[in-house]
Amino acid sequence: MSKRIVIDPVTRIEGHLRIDVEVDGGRVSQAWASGTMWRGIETILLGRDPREAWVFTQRFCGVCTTVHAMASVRAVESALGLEIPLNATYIRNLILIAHALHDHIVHFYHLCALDWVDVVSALKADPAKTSSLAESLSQWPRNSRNDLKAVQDRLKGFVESGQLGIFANGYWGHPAMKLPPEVNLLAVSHYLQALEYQRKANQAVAILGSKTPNIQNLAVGGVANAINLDNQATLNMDKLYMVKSLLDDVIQFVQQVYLPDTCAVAAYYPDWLKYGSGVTNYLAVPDLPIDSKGTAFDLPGGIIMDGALAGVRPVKDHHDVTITREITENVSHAWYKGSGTKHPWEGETNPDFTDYEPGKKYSWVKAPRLGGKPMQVGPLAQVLAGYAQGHPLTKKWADLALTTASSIAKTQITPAMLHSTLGRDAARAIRAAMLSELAIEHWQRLVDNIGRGDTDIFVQPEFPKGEIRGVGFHEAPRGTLSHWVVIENGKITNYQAVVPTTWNASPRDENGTPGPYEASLAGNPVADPEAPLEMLRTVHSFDPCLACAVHTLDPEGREISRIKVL
Amino acid sequence: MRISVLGMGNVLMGDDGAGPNAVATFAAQFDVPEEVTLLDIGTPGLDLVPHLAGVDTLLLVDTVRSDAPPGTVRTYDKATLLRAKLPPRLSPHDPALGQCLAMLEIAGCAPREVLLVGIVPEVTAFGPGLSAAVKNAIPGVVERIAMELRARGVHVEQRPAPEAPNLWWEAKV
Repeated sequence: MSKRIVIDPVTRIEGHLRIDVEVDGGRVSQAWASGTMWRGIETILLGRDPREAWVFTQRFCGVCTTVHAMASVRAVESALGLEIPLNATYIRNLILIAHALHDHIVHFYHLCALDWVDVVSALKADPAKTSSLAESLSQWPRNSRNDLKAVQDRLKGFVESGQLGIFANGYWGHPAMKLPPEVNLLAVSHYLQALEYQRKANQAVAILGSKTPNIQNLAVGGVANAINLDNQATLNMDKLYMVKSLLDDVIQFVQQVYLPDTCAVAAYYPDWLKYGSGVTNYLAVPDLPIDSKGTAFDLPGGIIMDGALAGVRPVKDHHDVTITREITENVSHAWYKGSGTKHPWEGETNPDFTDYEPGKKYSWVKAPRLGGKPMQVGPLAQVLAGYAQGHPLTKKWADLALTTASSIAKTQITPAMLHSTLGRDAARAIRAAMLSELAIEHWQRLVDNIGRGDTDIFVQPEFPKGEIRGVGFHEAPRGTLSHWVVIENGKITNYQAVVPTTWNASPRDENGTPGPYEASLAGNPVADPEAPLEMLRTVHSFDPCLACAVHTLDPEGREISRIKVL
Repeated sequence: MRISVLGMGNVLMGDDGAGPNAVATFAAQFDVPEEVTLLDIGTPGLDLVPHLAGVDTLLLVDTVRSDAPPGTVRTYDKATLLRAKLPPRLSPHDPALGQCLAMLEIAGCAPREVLLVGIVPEVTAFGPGLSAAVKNAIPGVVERIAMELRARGVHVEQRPAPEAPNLWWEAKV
């Protein structure tokens, strides 16, 4: 008998991710991913001045504010063929790096760790044994027996006073939880420490961006951070050193805590290096430009089809014709008028809500395709694309992660195993380690450039008569993001955002081909349909960001529709 | 003492912008000392954490789901917020205020005091601007923010010539 499970958190009035699966013999046979809110925010931009678009796009999503601002200014600059000053490039890069580090840390520790870590089991751990285990994995100074004992005592207090009940959405004691108590204690300790380091990354963004969330320092044509080393009110050496000191702390945490923790989780859950591959076509665009023309980048881009690393096609820059011409969106199964396929520059946002009918239309998310194929985007796509091309920075950190995980697991963990649920989580940590190394490089590039006497930060954009088109690509924490803009006589006439979660949470297309979430859930085990922890593991591994708009608190706590087993 | 007044919600989604609207309106009418942070925080989900850590008093203005009619203002304290059941986590938006507070509580750096000033929305669909019911509630909420700050010993001064609040999201094309 097949069973259907629906995970549909009704915590907001509308607007979130709904997952439906059919379970047969303890495994998922089919899955459907649905975005339950109309993402028509692009329409608000029609008729507006392209120079102010980024202020609005930044509000597409409360979590990914910075990335939508960045993609928007890049889109308009691309339409104008505008080269921005080198300082602006590096300041933007530093913001992107700090934001991504923040985002990856929060994802692992505060969103997905509780799928793998049993907090209650940590109470049974021996702090001394935990400490020696930790020392075998990393140099991190905050893994002492006393540190770990203090965390355990604190946790004990919370459990005894019943306050852990607030984490009733954690699956403590679930049969799929496999970490020994010591590893659980170590992870809980790092879960708490991660709060400090994500704050530091956020502070770095705030110094450079004037404010978080919703940075204020961008402009079409550059940045608004006036540089004057002798002026307290502008970007000066004091502020740059504050940024560096914050980043230094975050870098240590990523390299000595986040990466080893991910390796340990992967080593203790080898089965999860088999489940969840789903769509093995990957797309990543290069990012962190190191020149004003955008010809050279520090993060690699590439396209991999059917998991064949040997056949990787590099994406060298943002003018690559495959990415500018072959991205389309199809609305066969999405609540928009018609069933057609359009290039984003021709894209339409005409909502047409019908019922939730998996055979027909069932999502507000359109189905993006590259050359007609579904693509998985995200850190895994970037790491595999870099690895396949022999990109040195990618290889360095990916090989270190694979070696570390192999030595804990006492078995060989290969790059091919990254096509999986835990592979996605591991790739995010690998990418964070790459970014941590680039953080200091780009900080130095900025300081060196200013040291050469260059204080340029902005080029005045000028809009021609007639129509121009642009696309702004950004390899965001959740994957490839693109903003597509059409401008006529200095006003926006079309604007479409193809966001990472649209690629991954894509519904089926006109050929009935499922998107990455849908494909990756097939074959997942489900031990207890009332507590489908395994499904959450796979969905979380993509770092979904869907409830991008509305949020309403329910302090009266009456929402009850949680997980429905039909 | 660090006090934060945060307006939560998405300004592009109708009444969901009530929190940011109230905070912007307050900022235009009153001067407050430096230790008070006034911020439109958007819809940050877990990214609320850095804005709560180490704060002594948190005044949060947000829309709340309630059976009361639109425009009704209700307040909630920290204990109530910590008691509310947490939803299942699917995306980084789902863990909202409750989980952020709970996490910080365990880490030992949660705000000592939290007051949520909740406004019941009427329309939270796409498009900026407030419904009449919620718009009418804003002056009361602004007064309430001033009153709560004064009750905590903060010097809050009404500007003789208040500026128009910066509600850029409501600007017409």
